[in-house]
Amino acid sequence: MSNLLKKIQSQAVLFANPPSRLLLQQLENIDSIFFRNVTVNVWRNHNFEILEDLAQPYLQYAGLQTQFTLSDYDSSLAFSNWQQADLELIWLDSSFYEEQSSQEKWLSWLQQRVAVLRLKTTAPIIVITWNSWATVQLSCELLKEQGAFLVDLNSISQQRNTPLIDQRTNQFAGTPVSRKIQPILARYLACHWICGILLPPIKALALDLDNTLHAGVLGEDGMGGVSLDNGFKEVQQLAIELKKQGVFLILVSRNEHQDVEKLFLERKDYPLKWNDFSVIKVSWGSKAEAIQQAANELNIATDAILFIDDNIGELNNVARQCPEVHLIHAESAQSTLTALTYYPSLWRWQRTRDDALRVADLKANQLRNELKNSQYSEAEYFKSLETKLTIKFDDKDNIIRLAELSGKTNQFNLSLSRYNQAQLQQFMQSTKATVVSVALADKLSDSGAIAIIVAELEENILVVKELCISCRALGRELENDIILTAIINTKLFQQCGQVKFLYNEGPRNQPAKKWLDTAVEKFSDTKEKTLDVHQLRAYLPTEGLLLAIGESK
Amino acid sequence: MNTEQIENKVIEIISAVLKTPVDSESSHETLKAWDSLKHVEIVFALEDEFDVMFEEEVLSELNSVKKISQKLME
Repeated sequence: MSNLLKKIQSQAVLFANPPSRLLLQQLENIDSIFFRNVTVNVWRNHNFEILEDLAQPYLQYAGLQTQFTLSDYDSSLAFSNWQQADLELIWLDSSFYEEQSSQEKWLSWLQQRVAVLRLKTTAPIIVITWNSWATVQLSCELLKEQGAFLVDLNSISQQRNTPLIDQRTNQFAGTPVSRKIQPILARYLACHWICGILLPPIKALALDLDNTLHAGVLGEDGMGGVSLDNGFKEVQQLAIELKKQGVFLILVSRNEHQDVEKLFLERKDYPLKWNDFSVIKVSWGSKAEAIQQAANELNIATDAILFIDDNIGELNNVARQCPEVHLIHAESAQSTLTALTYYPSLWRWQRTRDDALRVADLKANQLRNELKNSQYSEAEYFKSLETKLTIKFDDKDNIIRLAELSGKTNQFNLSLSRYNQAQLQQFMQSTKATVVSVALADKLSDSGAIAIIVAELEENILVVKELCISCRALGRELENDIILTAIINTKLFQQCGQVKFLYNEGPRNQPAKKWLDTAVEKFSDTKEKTLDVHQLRAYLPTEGLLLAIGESK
Repeated sequence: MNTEQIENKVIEIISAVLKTPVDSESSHETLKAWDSLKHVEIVFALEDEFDVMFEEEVLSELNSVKKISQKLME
């Protein structure tokens, strides 16, 4: 059986509601050319193995070969025999502490233990626990101080209307987590909590129309014959929800363009509207080509696209031509809903304000291009748009977005250092380093933070260890203003004799390399990824551009 | 379900959990993979599939295909 068919068949098991323990155990392994090996340290005081076995099929489906290293049962969280891993997971039965401590003492103790773990590693930390106390405060504090994430299992239990605790299980299996909720938690663990932190996000949904977004075939049943019964309305509503979180929607349909446009304009009961789609590809051509074109228009890679279609033949064609594209078989509206809810990498730990700005920003880009192509000079163009760069230094309040930029940017990413929150925090605290963020806004849209620069002073050389610009800011020819203005305005720049850029070649970061080559030609005599400070001092920002520059430490 | 159907289902479940061939004579003594952790998984899978809940005191005794089938027949 082909791997695609295996994957499609496994969907029925993986995304069943609730998943069956037995069927999960019976799933065949899925081979993939895209497997990535990851290691997870599990610090626990109750049984984790049960969840691990049930989570593995989901992790394999997501392309992760996951090696869990389990600690002994240790309620003191001593982190003995710690070794480097990609992820640290604290799996804690809190009932032990509730009997012996107060809420304040436990919170304080747990925060201390997370802080101790943070001293050992910069890997992401996830704390999975529950208690009868309020956990909101815990969540905020852990997140802010240590770059850790908290899962409150009580909330999952309530959402899924499934009991969390079963004391009979505690005696027999070494965990009070009930038998019934275990497969549900395993799916959350793999698809949301682990993939949401270790895998790059899905940035766009490519949606087929007939029998994917509505029941029926538009070309045969006509506009009044297609319906939103049996869950299709909820599929459309979920797509809108994802769009609000910054996921692009692409319509990929084999139909007559004018029929589909008319459908969305005239069917007032459709939650999705024509202009909800960032790219529309309605034609009789190849869907694989349509997806590739959409990726180009959105300036994203095809491996960040999830294609959903009810036709296995179409899925097969896309898998053959673009094996990196993610696929969901829309067997029914209900199965699509569950698959979209749990599809690995679609759920994220945190959506920032900047995520939500992404979709609106793309629409504004089309208007910008029209203006740019008019008779305006460059200065008039920026002035008319009131284009503004806001440069901030070591902005802890924006650390989530900055880590996201470092983790997600592929094209304009010079060193591919992929710093997480904890690592960025270290740079921010250092007197020899700085983390610069650049935000971009104009009359048409607010793009939010679009660039991160991490620089560290090594003797008299300012080493730029990370330089990323979001693809939403590319194409406006502002790269020099963003990078050079930011660097020149750091205090560390005053102390250095050279500015050196770290570069690591990746599969898609040629735009960053191209910028560096041009900058070296213009601002350097050495030609070794190094810019001359005297030449940089003479740099003048583009005329017409507004600049707001914060205080550098 | 008759005795044979129950036994076949028990064999299917144990085989799926242990990922090894199982027959009606199999037990934790004949199957190396049937350790204490897998025993927990087998019991939970049996409870899920037969929609039953075994009494706490018999859980550790359900360590062979025969004993499990007998218990399910009661």
